[in-house]
Amino acid sequence: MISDTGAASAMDTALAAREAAETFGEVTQIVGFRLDAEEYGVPITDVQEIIRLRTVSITRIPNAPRFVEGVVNLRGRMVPVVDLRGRFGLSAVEHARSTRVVVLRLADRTFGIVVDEVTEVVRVPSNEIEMLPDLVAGPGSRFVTGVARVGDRMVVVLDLNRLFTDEEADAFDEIASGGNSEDGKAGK
Amino acid sequence: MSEEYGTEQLIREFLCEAEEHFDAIGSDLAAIESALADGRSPEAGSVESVFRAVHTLKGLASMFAFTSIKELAHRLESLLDAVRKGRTALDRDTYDVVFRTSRVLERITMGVAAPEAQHDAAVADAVALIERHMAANGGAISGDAAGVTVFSEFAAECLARGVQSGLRPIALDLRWGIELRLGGLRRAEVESALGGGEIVEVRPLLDGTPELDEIDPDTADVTVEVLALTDRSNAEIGDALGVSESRIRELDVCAPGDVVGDTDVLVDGSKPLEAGRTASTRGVLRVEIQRVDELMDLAGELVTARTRLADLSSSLRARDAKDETYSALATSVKEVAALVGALQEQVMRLRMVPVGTLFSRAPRIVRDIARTLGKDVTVEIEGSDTELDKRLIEQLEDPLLHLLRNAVDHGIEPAGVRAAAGKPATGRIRLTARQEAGTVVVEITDDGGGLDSEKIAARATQLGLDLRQGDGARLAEIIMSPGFSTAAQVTDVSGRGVGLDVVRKRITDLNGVAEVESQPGHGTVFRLVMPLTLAIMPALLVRVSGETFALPLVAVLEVMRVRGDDLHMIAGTRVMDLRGTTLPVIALAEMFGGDVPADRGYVVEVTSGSRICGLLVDGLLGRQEIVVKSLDILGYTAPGIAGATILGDGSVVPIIDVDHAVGAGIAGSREECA
Repeated sequence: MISDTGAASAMDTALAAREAAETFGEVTQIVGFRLDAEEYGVPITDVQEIIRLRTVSITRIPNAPRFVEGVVNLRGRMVPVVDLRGRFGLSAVEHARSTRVVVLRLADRTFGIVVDEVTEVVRVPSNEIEMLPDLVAGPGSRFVTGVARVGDRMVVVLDLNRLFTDEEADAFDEIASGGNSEDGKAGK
Repeated sequence: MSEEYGTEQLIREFLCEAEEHFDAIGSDLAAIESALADGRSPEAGSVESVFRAVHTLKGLASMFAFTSIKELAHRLESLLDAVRKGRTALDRDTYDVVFRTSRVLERITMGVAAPEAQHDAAVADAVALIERHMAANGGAISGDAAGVTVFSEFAAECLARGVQSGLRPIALDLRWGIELRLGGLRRAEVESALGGGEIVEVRPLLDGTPELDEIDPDTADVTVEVLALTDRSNAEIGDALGVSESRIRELDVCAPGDVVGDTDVLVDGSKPLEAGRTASTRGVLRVEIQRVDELMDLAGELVTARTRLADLSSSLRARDAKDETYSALATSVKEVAALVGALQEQVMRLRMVPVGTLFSRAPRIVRDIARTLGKDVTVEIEGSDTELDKRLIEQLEDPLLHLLRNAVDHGIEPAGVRAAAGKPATGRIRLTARQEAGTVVVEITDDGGGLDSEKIAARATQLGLDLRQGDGARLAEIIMSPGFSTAAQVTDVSGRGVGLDVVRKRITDLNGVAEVESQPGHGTVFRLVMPLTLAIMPALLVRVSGETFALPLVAVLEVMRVRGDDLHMIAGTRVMDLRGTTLPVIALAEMFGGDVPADRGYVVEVTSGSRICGLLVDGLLGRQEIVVKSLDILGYTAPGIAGATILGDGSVVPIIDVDHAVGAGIAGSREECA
C-alpha cells in the first residue's frame, strides 16, 4: 500500500489508513440523523428500522418518565418512543413531514427515538471517531461516543445504551425540570 | 432424586399427569364423602376410580424412582384394593385414612422437586396409619396390589389380538441384569423362550429405574415386567430363561372390543371402569399453555392486520368503487375478516377449562381444616362447569385456598356459639362460580358470624388504620389492606403467610376485583369478579383530555353524566353526592398531569376491593373487548397505568389501573378526614 518511493503525500497516507481500516473491517457504519441543526449518528448495527410518523401515531402514556414520549404500535408490538430532543435539552417541535422514528435494538430493548430527519448512512473508519473535548458538557454529552468528520460536516456519534441507567435518567429528569438554560447542543 | 434421573421435561410431564390424577381423586373422594355424610353407601365406581388413579400414580412414581411416593401409593392402593374387594368396609374411619393419606401423597408428589428427606416423616406417618388401619380391619399389604396389572392401551390391544389368535398373555418379572441384555443380546433369547409369541412391552416395576449407564448389572436389584404373548407353558418359559415359575403369571385380557380407556386399562377380572370417565379422556391432547399463548398472540396480530387490510381496501374503493379487482378484493377481505374472528375465538376457547378442577379440591381442604379446628363444616359447590382461562385457574388456586381457610377459621363459629345463635351445628360453606356479562364471579359464602367489627376495629386501631364504626364497606376494606395480616389473629390455620391483602392483590393483578360483604350473625361473602380470560378483557373506553383510555369493565359499577355544579370541593378533594352518600371523585385528567376538565362530563363509579370512588372523564366511547398487553416503557412504570391494548384501528390505548386510581382517591379523602 505504501508507496515505495517513501515520499507519499500526507493525503496518500490518510487514504491508505482508511483503506486499511476498511480492509480490516474497522469501519463503523453510522445512520445519520438531524436534531435541530446538529447531525447525530448511531451505529447501524443498533438500528432495527426507520419509520415515518405518518404511518404510526405516538400514544402518550400518562405518568411515564419524562423522557418517554409515548408508545407506537409496530406491527402489533408496542414499542416505547424516547423523546431525544427533550433528553438533549432541545425545545419541543411539531412533528413535520421529515420526522422519523428510528427504532433501535439495544441490550434486548427495542425502542424508538424521534428525530427531525434521517440524513444518510455514512461509513467512518472507527479510528477517525474523535473523543469529545472535556469542555463540552451539555445534557446530551453523556450519550456521546465521539465526533466523526464526514467531508466538511461533523456527526456526533451516540451510545444510547447510556439512556437507561437509572441514575442518569433521574439526573436528566432533574436537569430537564430545572429548565433549559444550558446550551444542550453537544458537539459545539 | 429428581435431578439424578429425569430431565426437567419428564418431571414436568409427570407432575402434569399426576395433577390430573389428584384432581380425579379429589372429586371421587368428595362424592364418597357426601355419600357417607348422607348415610348412603358410596358408589363402587368412585372407589374403583380412586384405586385406579392411585395405581397409575404408583406406576408413574416408580418410573421416576420417586421412592417415597411409590411406597405410600403402594400402601394406599392396597387399602383401596381391600375396600373394593369388600375385605375392608368403607366407613368413616376408612375414608378418613384414605383421605388423609391421599393428601400426604398429593403433597409429596406435587413437591417432588424438594428433597425427599423432607417428606420422610410425613410418609412414614401415613404409611403407619394405613398399616394400622388395615391390620385392625383384616387386611394386609400385599407384595404388589393383588396381581392387578395396568398397562397401556397399545399393550392391551396387542395382548387382546394375541389372545384371539390363540396365544396366552403373560406377565414376566425379570431382574434388571436380564433386562439390560434384553435391550440388546438376550431379547432374542427371551423371544425364543416364548415360542410362537412375542414381547409386547418391557417396563420397570416398582424398584425404580436408574439410568442405564449408572447401573451395575451384577449388583443391581431392579425388576422389570415383561408383558408378552406365548404359546408355551409357564414352566417351559421358566426353564428356558432360568427363572422361577412364580415370576410368571397369566394375564386376563378383554377382547379388543371391550377395551376401555385410552391410557391405562385395568385387567384383573374386575368390572370395567365407568364409561363416562374414560370417554372424557379419549382424544385429549395435552399442550403446553405457552404454545397456546403464542398462538393467541399471533391471532391478536392477525386481527390488527385484518383491520389494516380492511382500511386499505376501503381507501381503494374511494378511488374507484367500480373496479372489478376492488370488489373481488372487498369480498375476500370480508372472508378473511370472518375467518380471523373465528380463529381468534377458537384459540381463546383452547385456554378455557372448567373451574371444577379447582373446586373439586375444596371439600377436602375444608374438611382438613375443620378437623384441625374441631369444627364440623360442609361444602356446597355450584357452577363447577363454568369455564375460565387455564392461567386464571392457576392463579386462583392460592387465593381460593386462603379464603376457604379463612371461612372455616374465622367465618364459621364453634359449635357452641352456633347452637346459642340457633343455627345448625354443622357450618356451611358455599362455593359458586358463574359467568356474568363477560366476567366470572366466584363466591365463597359462609353461614358464620360475619365480620367481627370489634376485633377488626381493635386491630385496625393497633395498626393506626382509620376506621369509622359500623361501616361495613370500610371493615371489608380494612381486612383486605396490607398491614392487616391474619398472622396476628387467633389461630394459625389462616396464618400461613398469606393475608387477605395478598388475595386482593392477586385478583387485582388478574384485572379482577375482590369484594367482601358481611352480615353480622349471618355470614360473610367473599366475591371475586374476574375477566373470563387474561388475554381478553371487556373494557369501557373513555376520553380524557382528548386521549383515549380503557377502564376494566369488572371494576365499573355505574356511569353518570355530571355537570360542574354536581361536583364539590371539600378540602382539596372533589366529591359528589350519590343518592345520599358522598362519593370521592378523581379527575383522571388531573391524575394524568393534565388540566382540570371542563365543567361537564361523566363520572364512572368504580370499585376496588370494597373501596368505591368516581372517576371523572370527558366522554364515553363505549364498551369493547380488548387484548391486554403488558406495557414496556424501558423498565419504568407509569403509576395509574396497568397496561395497554391495541385497538382494531391499530391505535394504542393505555389501560387505567383502577386500584391505583381508587387508592389515590381514598388517600385524598383520608387526608381530608385527618
